[in-house]
Amino acid sequence: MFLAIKQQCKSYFWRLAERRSPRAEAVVLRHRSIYVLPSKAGLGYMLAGLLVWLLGTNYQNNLILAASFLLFALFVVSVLHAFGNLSGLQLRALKAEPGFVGETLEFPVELISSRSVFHLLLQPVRGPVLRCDLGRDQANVVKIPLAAQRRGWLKPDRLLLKSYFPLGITRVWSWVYLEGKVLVYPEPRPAQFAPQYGADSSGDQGDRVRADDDFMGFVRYQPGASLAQVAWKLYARGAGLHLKQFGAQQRQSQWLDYHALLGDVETRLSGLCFLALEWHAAEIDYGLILPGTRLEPAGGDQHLQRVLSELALFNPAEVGREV
Amino acid sequence: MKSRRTIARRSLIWLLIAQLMVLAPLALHIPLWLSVTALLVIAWRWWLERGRGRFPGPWWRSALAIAVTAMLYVSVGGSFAMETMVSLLVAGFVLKLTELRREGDVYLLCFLAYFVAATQLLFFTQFLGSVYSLLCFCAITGTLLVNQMAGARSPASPSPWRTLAGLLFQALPIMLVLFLALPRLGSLWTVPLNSTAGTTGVSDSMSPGDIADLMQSDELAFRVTFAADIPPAHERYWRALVLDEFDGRRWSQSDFHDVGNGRASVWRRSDQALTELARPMSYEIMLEPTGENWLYALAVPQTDASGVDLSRGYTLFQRKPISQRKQYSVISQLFYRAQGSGLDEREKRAALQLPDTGNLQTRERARQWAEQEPGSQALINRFLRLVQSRFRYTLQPPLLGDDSVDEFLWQTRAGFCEHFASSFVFFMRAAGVPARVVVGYQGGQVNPHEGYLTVRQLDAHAWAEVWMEGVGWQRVDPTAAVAPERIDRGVEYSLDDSDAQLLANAMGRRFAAWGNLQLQWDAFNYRWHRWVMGYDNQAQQDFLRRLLGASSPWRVTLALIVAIGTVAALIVGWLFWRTREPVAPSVKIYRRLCRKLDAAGVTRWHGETPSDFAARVGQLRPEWAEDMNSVTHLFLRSYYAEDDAAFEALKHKARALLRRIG
Repeated sequence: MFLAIKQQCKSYFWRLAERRSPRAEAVVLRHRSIYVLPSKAGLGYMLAGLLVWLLGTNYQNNLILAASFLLFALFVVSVLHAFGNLSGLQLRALKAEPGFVGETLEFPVELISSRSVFHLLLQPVRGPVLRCDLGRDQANVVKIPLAAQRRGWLKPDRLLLKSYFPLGITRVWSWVYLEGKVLVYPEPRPAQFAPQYGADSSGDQGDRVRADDDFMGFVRYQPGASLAQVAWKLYARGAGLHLKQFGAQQRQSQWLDYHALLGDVETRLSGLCFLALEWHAAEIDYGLILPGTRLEPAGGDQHLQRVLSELALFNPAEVGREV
Repeated sequence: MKSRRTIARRSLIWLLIAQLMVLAPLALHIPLWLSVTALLVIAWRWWLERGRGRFPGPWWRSALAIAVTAMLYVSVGGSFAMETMVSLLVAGFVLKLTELRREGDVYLLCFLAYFVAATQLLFFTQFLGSVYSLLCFCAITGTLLVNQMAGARSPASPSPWRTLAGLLFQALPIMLVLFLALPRLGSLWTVPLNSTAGTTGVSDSMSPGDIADLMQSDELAFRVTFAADIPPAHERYWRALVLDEFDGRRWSQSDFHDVGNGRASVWRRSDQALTELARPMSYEIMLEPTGENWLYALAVPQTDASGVDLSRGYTLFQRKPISQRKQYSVISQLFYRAQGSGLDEREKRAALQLPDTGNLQTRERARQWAEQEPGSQALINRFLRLVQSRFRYTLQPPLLGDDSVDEFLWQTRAGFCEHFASSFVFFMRAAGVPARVVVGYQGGQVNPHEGYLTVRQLDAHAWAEVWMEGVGWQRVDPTAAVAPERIDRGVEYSLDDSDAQLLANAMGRRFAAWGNLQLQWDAFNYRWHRWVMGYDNQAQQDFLRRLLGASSPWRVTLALIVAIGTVAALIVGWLFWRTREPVAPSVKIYRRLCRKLDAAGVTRWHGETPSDFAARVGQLRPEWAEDMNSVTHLFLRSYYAEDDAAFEALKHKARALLRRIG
């Protein structure tokens, strides 16, 4: 019950914070989204100021009182400077390089300000603190690490920008929601080929291996071989890519076929991703067949990216049928 | 922020220097060994920084802490005063250095340093002392700043000096506003400032030689500012205590007058008839700390100062010893008749008390004279005539034996004010006239620069008071009979050369140029004390009333908010102005065009590119399409390609278009 309320409050808080600093590709920090409070050291500073004030009050010593007022005034000025330090800072999400599930991707953010910005600390929600100083009108690119956990578009979570400048007694911060995204490809992982698949043979799905052919043995993988012929078990043992040789060899086709693999959606996509990389490295032309999508065989970096993007963004629910 | 990074060398240097600055003046007020330990620890920490030696382990640190605490306990011996606390603070402040390694540790040390620097101001309240403390505060703030800037990677980091100066310069006006407007609360609890400090000035008893000892000190006793004219020197008798008990050698206070120990009762002017013979005189005294609980004033004083009472001897006193400079205003009735109708039995007995034995010659002579003379006044005059004709005023009187009054009056006939006052009172009492000794200061030097009066220790004086029927207590100063210039001009003018050598700062008082400098500096310090240290609730009320018309709380609060808000707005304005973006001239022209189009009903959307906007203008107002397109093209060329020819054309075209629109 209590936890639920806490959760509720938390989510309300973050909604509020997000409303004050809406998601955008480029964000300029303004007073609406900048917060200043005393830091932990600042509380100590205030305590020292209070003690000095008590000393001055007790001994009715105007000079000591003036000293405590000076401490207070320094705090006020420090808050203003802290605010001025962050205010006007512009952040822009740059184009990020895609990567695979399991990797840590880098999300580049360009920081620029018409003023010098000192001792800026950037902290993603889960991640290390990055330190950065900016010269006046000097762009600085900070690469924010993002752990890719699922395929598809990865959006950076809110970014905490904070600074303890100038005296370390104030903590000025802002939550920044950058409208950027990184494409995350499935993790390349070998998957198992479906042996029964050959029974269903419709022309437009390309040539397939017949299940009733006699197994003859293994040969080294050759460019252009069908994925159905790959000896996945051998590969999984670390023996490299080999093809199963069947009695009646067929002309090898170049299709990455979703239906030719075993396992759930993610396993199959990982398998397809793995093969795409292998074939690309081996300079084989290949096409892609996904439920609802078909890419004609081709080669090259662009084709690989198209194929990987399709794999990354494949949405079984969108296809509208059980796969 | 608790940073785990090792402290940068630059911040360590700042910190150690700030520490040394904070500790230096306190060395006078903490045990010597502690100052030495502090120096050693600071030097050793620097040694470590240079890579020699290793940090001590927790055992060593605890051993050091225990040793220092034990030594502190031994040296201050359990008494608790502010000086003890300062010593403790200093000890903690220095020992923390032995475990200072991380950036985060700097904060605690800096906050401690702020507090320790503030305690300096308990002991040093002169102008220079305050400036020094301000420097300490700057050094500590600089340490915080440098610690924060340490490890910056940007080459654009500004100099810490400039940032520090900026911070302090901006903080000072806010401090000033707070200082002027924030009300002062009274003392919350009492901790004496120092437990061991001696007392200075006139003491509560008087033996031969006591006051002459004070002549060796040029120290300031108090300063006085009169509301109107300064009364002539022979009326400036600053009374501290009434001494009415004599044991043959020493004068002290009887129970009746003892204000110091609270045995005497408070006297109210309304208790006894006091006839005022002239307009009272009002003035303000700033008394240097004495460690005693009596104050100085002209007779008969009256004051509103809180905690200050009037004694039966027409002197002022308070319960707590004066451990800090004290400022109070007094209204005095210099010419008065009091208690003329008679003394009560107790007071009369005290005023006639004499020791049972001794000084037989004086007693005998007093009886004779009392019979020969018609009244008290005649008796007094005869005594004064004797003094005037036969006595010598000197700082180096011959030593006196057991019957000190006899020896002085009838044999040596040379002495200082205490000899004259003492023997006069003895003589009067022996003759049956109530009399008493009063001690305090007499005269004082007028500072020509500020028009106030400076009273120093060497102005210490003792005189007598005699009670007469119908007149009451009347001042009689036998010293005035023997050395009138002592009363009118000051002690330095009343002594011969060999005596003057014994006076403190004889040179300063004699050589005009040096004395003048001293006077000017004293005037400046006095002003500092009066207006800064003495800015109390009353002064504040007056100031605010003059400034705001009334000093009601809401008015003051409003003024405070407005003043601080203005300063803050100025600072923010400055922060932004300092770094505002320069706007290219072509952008200015384009913006002017946009404003004009806006007025004509075509508004550029936020974020709309100039080309898109030009296209939209063309759709909405086809008649401007061509001009708008060319202006936009020229603007883009001159702005992005920095094409000067395009800029010239832009100016021309834009002007034409503006005319067409408008």
